[in-house]
Formats: sequence, structure tokens, C-alpha cells
Amino acid sequence: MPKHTNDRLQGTLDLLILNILARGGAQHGYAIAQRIHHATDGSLRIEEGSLYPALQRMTHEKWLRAEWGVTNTGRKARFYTITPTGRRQLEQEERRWLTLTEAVARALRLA
Amino acid sequence: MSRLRRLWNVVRRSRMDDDLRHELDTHVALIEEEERRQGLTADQARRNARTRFGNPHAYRERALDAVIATWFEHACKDVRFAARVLRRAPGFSATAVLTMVLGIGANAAIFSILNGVILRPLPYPSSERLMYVSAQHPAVGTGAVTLSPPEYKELREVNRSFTAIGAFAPGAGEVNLTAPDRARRVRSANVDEHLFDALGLQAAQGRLFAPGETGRPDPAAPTAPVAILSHELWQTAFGGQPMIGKTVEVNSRPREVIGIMPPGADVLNHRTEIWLPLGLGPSELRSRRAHYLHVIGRLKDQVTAEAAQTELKTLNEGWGERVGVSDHMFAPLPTDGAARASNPDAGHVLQMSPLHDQIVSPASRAIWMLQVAAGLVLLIVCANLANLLAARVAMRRRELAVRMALGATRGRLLTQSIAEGAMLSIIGGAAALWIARVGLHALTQAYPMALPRSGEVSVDLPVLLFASGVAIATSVFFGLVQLRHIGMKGVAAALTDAGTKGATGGTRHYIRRSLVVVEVALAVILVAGAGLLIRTIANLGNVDAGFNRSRLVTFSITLPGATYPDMTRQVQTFLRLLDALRAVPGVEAATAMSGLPPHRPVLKMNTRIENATTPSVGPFHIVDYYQSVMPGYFETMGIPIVRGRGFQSTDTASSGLVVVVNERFAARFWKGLDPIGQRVKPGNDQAPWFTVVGVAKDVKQGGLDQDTGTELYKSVLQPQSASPSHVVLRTTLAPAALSQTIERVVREMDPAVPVVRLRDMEAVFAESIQRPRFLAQLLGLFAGLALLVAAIGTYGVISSLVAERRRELGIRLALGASRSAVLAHVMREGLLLTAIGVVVGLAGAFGLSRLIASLLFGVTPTDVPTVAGVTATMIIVAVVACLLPAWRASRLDPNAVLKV
Repeated sequence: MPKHTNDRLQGTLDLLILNILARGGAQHGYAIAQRIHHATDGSLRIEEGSLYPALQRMTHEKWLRAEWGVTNTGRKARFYTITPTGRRQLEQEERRWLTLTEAVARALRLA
Repeated sequence: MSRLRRLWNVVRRSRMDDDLRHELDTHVALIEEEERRQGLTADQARRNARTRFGNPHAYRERALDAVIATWFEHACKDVRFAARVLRRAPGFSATAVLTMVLGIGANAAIFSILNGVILRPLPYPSSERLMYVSAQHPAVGTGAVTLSPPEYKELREVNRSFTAIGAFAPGAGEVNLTAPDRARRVRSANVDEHLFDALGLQAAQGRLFAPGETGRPDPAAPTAPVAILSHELWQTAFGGQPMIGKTVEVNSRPREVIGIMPPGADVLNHRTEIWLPLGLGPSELRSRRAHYLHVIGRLKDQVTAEAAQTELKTLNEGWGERVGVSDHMFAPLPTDGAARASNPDAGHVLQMSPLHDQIVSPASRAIWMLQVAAGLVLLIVCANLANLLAARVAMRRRELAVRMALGATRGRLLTQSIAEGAMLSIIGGAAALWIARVGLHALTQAYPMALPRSGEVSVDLPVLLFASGVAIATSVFFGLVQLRHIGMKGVAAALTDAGTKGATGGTRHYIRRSLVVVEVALAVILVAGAGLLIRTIANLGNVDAGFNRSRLVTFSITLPGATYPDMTRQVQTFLRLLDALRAVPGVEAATAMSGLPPHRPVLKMNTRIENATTPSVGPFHIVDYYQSVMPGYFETMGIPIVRGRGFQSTDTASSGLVVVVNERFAARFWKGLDPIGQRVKPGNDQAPWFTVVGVAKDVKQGGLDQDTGTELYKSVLQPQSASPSHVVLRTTLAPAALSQTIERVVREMDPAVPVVRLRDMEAVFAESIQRPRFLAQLLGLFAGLALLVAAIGTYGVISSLVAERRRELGIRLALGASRSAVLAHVMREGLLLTAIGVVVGLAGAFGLSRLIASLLFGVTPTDVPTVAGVTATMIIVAVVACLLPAWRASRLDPNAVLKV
């Protein structure tokens, strides 16, 4: 079964995308990439090569909905919004992420 | 349905790809905008954007891969989930798959037959334009009569509806062929070159008959007679060696092979192995009394069947004036005796019917009936499946409700239950096709002659489509039924009343009870049909054939006219052969005759009968059968002589001419007179008078289900007899043990004469009822399946009713109901459903009785013993099906039940 080799990172990327869309409403790919870039002060840069496959996959998982629209500079772009299923997924991913990071942090402190 | 859409997306990869390309372009453009805003030139901005963005092709590939991977992952998850669900309920899964295999398998097998024999067009180009032309005699009400050579020739010349009309004569149906390894008997067709035009046949090798080549061979002409081999004969007899231009011996005469037919080429389901010229010479073209030509015409493209039929009718009217004769069979029916005497054939009309009907109609009723039966089996299977599912849904409601409460969408649940159904259907469908293939092979092996076109029956693409259609429909049905309940009720309701019996339980039970009634009713129809056919077979087996069939061995040989030109030579050879056979240890008696019961076609020979007490139909009486026999015939066959004597060694060519008649003959023509000493003229008016010396017991010459008919026996030692071709031995040995000896004896007599159809008489008779036996066995099988599935259904419903009513039954027991009362209560429930089903089913069976009536012998569709038997069978099956759940109900422990 083909599964992404970098499972954890993929999960992280999903989480970031879902989070941005849940907070910021409809966004196109470029904007999502920019948002992540700025929100992390440039420490996390999303590669376009990972972004678009993730968006495609998440659309097909029914977490996102994609619609063609026009950017404020008048360019045709695909806008993504989060679906209710996506919100549930976000909650789960978030919980999982917090549990994991907490656990890792604790382990690091105690070690 | 989302799964389907995803699949669609994968298939429509190009459209998705376009979207993605656009999206990526936008992205690059947006980077470019940003760079420009930061003060770069357009050129630099573009370059920078490209560098920053990387390779869009690779991204596209990765994005598409991600989608496909997701789709695949989901599909695998669904299949794994379905497999786990089905594995958790092995009883349910096995029952569902098994019933599906039986239902689809039976239908695929019968549909293969229906498709191959009836639905598929005949293997000729534009075969729907091929018509079989025959003559009917409405005044006498006889069936189709074949045409005589002059009438065939005239029809060819005068009609305007057909592009081509050809003729086929089976002749003897068979010829001796001297192949390299041994002499063999092969099926022959005598045809003219026009028949190939009409059928649209082409030679695979060499050529077909040329104009003029199919007439009577001119003894003075230098050209050799010709023959065309079928592909199959070429392979089996000559090993596929080059044969064009070579000479073969047919009936001990050399013939040049001019062509090889393509595989499967045939005419009128004759299973032709060798094609020979029709041989219509001047004398044949004058004989209007000889009706032996099967005529096949191809309609012109613009002519409809109705128009052609109308034209045939008008041709009828002016026929005599057009061809200048008065003694043709299309002349109007004469009113006075003298006119009838001059043209006894008059009064026929020309008739045509599609060639397809002509070939298929003898078996089509039986095949359609089998398809109906298979359809009923499938309906029962579906009812049972619905029943199984309803029971399963009842048990799974809590699980499904929980999953919905946890956020699974209806679509997701539907996809999964369709995956479950698909899994069952794929397993069931594949196994069914395998069963159908094996079953068909067994059927065509066991009953090679029961079906026309049996060589064309196979599990092919239409059958595959049919079976997969049925399987897919079943899986979708499966998914929908599973989810129906959840959809109709709220999740909360399902959660609260799952496991107990809610207010809607009653409706559900009502539906499930109705399904049991339907299953039982359908099974009753099938069992009734099977019962009637089994009684038909029993009746046919009990028919007195008129002679002692046990320990008789028979085989056929034909002495070819080329080496045995006259009757005397033939009879001498047969006498020597019979002497040699009688000398074989284990052979008690031996004889030979011209026609072997029970396969003789009715001959209906014109015969003048002296002192006849019944009025004749023409200048003659019509006698159904003539039989020419060798000495010892009645003794060897075990046919009792009821009056007078049989033939004796003193009845020779030089003594007085004598005949023996059968009882029916004496009773029909000489009511109240002593038949001994009466005289007959067999064949024609020029024949001498023969004196009746004996009356033999009736023999079923034409088949066990046929009327006995009037019969006249002649001795081959006297003139006017036909040559013998069937040898009969009374022996203590099996045919297999005799075959080598017989072949040696015949080879010593003439190595060019093959021994064929060496069998015992019981086998010959068994073969004669092959088609009804075939029907009865298949229908019996279906009825058995139906009973089994209906029993499973009844068992399932009763046991789940018991399971759902445990509490109530427990309370009854706790309040003092006896265990036998509970048992009786549950049994009554099951038997009541069965009884309703039986009544409905019997009504249905009577409704369908017209379909089966013509296939029965000695039993009516409303036969009382059959109805009683069916009812008893159903009740027994129902008792067996209900007994276990009822017993379980009566064993319930009230304490344990009420604690829950």
C-alpha cells in the first residue's frame, strides 16, 4: 500500500493547512504558503511541491472544498475552504499533535 | 457514490491535470507579482519566480499520485473492512454466497443455452433474411411437407421475392466414407450450388459446387463426381492434411474433394460432415410425387416477409397455367374422387417461416421454460438474500447507528455496505460462472442430441455480461437494503430500540414473513413443474414398446449401391452376415430390418387395401410405416404374432407374395373382418397383390410418446422390399464385449462398410426420450435448489423471530406455558406461512400450466397425485426448517431470558 514515507510531516502539513483555513476562510494555494511562511517568521517554509499534492489529497478526503475564484489582483485562482469533516479532522489532528509534543517535551525534560 | 466519482476523476485524469496546471500557473504568477512589488523588473521577477517555484511538472505528478494513492487506500480499507465484517459472520456470508452461486449459476447456464440456441442469430450473413419454404396441406391438416424437384425448380424461376433459393436433401442422411485409417459413417447433405448462395456460405479452402456440377452426373462426362468436406471431418478423418484435388471414396465410389468448409458450417442443424451434389437429373425434375427437398430462400433486401408470403400465395393460384401442368401439388383441392385419384397431392399451399424458427422451434418451448424456471430460482434467491439481510440489519442496527453517531456519513456507510455486497457478489458471481461452465459441459456431454445448435452453446461475452449484471444488481441491492432502515429512522431511535423489539418491529416482520411466503410459493411452482416432468419420464419409461427390449444389441450398416447394385446381392450379403453373427458365442438370435424403432419417421405410404371398411383419403389408404425384415425378425425382436403366422423360410421370391400387418392396421382397415387372407398393394398401383398371413403385436416405431400407427411388414426375400440396414442380436453379452467381434465379422464381409451405432436397445430407447429427460433432470435440480433455499429462508425467519421474541416466550414459560405449547406455537407460525405459500404457489403453477402442457406425456398439469406430492414435500421441508428454532424456543430458560 502506498503510504507517504514522511507520515509525521504530512500530518503536520495537513494540520497547518486545516488550521489556516479554519481561521482565515477561503484561501488559494499561494496565500496558504505565504501565511505559513509569515506566521512562523520564515522558520517554516512550505514547499510548493508538498503543498499542492496535500491540497489535492485533502480535497479528495472531503476535508477541503475547492472552487475557482478571482484574487484581489484580478487573477483566476483556486480557493480552498474547510468542510465540517475537515474541522473534525483538524480537531483530531490538533489533539494528536498536542499529545505528541507534550509527551516529547516531557520525555526531553525527564531524560 | 463518492467512490465512483473519485474513480471517474482518476479516469478523467486529463481534466484534473488541466485544473492543477492552472492552479500552479497562478501560483507562479502570484510570486511574480510579489517580486515585482519588491521592485524587480518583469523579466527578473519571472526568472526569480520560476527558480523559487521549482519544477511544476514534478508537483503535478506528485499531486495526482497523491489522489490515486488516497483513492486506492480508501478502496483497500473498505475491502478490508468488508472482509472483516463478513468474516465475523461466517454463517451469514457462506449462506449468502452459496445461494447467490446457485441462483446466478443456474441462470448463467440456462441463459447460455437460451443465448446460443435461440437468441443468437444463425451463423450466416444477414441470417434474419433466410426463410424456410415448405408446403402445407390445410384441408388435411398435415404439417409442413418438403417440395418436389420440379416444384422447387419452378419456384426458383417464377418468384420475385428472393435473391437466391437453394435446396437441401438429407438423402439417407449418412454415407460410408473410406478414410485413410478406417471406413466411417459420416453425415451427408445433398445440396445444389444455389443453396450456398442463399445461405451465404464460402469455402474455407478450394471452392464450392460450380453451376452444373450439382445435376445428375453424366456417366459419359469425363469429370469426376465431387464432394466438399466439413472442417471438422477434414480434421478428424484426414488430420488436416491437404485434401483439395484428392480423391475420397464415398459409398465405395471415388469423389474429388474440391473444397473444405469453414468451421461450424451446416444446414438446418443437420450436423453435416460431407457436402455432396444434389443430383437433380431430367427424371428427378419430372417426378412431382417425390417430396424430399428442403428449400431455403434469402429475401431480397427491400422485400418484407409479409410481402414475400403474399407473393407465395399468389404464385400458388396461377401455378398450373404458368408451368403447363395440372398434376402439381399447388393445384386447388379437387372435389370429386376421380380428380383426386389423378392428383392425390393437390391442395397444398406454399408457406414460409424464418429459417431460425425452423431450426430452433422444436426445443424453444423447453428452453424458455427452463429460463423461466431459472428466473424463479433467482427470485427465490433474491427473496432469501433480502431475508438474510433484513435479519442481519436487525442485528447490526446498533453498530451502524453508533458509527453514524460517531460521524460516519450515510454515503460512507453506503459505500461500505456496497463494498460488502460487491465482495459477496464477486465471489458468488465468479463461482457461479465456473459452475455454469462445468454444468454446461456436463449437460452437452450427457445430452448431445437434446438441443439444436448445441455446438454454439458456451459461456461467452453475453453470458458474462448477463452474470455480472445480475451480480452487480445484487450488490447494489445489498447495500441499499442494509441502509434502508437507518435512513428511515433517526439515529437516536435506532440506538434506543436496537436489540429490543420496537414499534416498527411488526412491519419488518410482516415484510420478512411475506418473503417466506413468496419463496415457498415460487418453490412450489418449480417443484410442481419438476414433479410433472418426472411423472412424464416415468410414464414414457413404462410405455410398452411392443417387443422385448432386454438383451437386444443393435447396430447399423449400409451396403453402398456402387458395390451392391441390386437387392439380391444385398440380401445375400446380409444372410451371410447374419449366419456369421449367429455363430458368435453368446449370440442367441440375429436378424436385420429396414427401420429401427423408436426413431422411425412416419412414412405415410399410399397403399391400396382390399375390402377396407374405412373410407380412403384418396385413391389409396395411407399406411404409417412399412418395415422390410430378414428371416427370424419377429422371433429375435420378441414381437408376438397374435393371429396367423410370421414369415417362414418358404416365403421366397418364387412363392406367393405375403405380408404381416400390425393389430392397429387390422383394426383400422378391416373392422370386424378376418385380416388373414385379405390383400394389399403396397406402394403403388402397379405393385402386385400381397396376401396377409399374420397379425403382429403393435410396436412403437415412431417413439414412445407417439401414436402406434398402422404398419405393414414385408420380407426382404420377396420383391418390393427395402434393403435392410439395422441388425439386431439377442444376446447375453454387453455391446462393449461384442463390438470387436462384430467389427471383425463385418470387416471380413466388406472392409469398406463401417459398423455404426452399436448399442443395446435400452440405450436406444433411453436416447429417444433424451429431451424430456434433460428437461426433467434440470427442472428437478432447480426445484431441489428452490426447496433448499426456501428451507433456509424459512429457517432464518423463524429462528430470528424466536430470537427477537425470547423475552415474550420466556414470560410465557415463566407464567406456566408448557414447553410443548411453545414448541407448537412456533411450529404453527412456520407452517402457516408455508401453507399460504403452497396455496399461492399452486395457483401460480396452474396459471403457468399452459407453458408446460405440451411437454407432458400421460399426465395433466393439474394432476392430483403431483399436487398432493408437492404439498407434502413442502410441508415436510417446512417442518424440518422450523423444528430447530421451535425446539430452541421450547428449551429457553425463563430465568436467564428475563434477567437480561
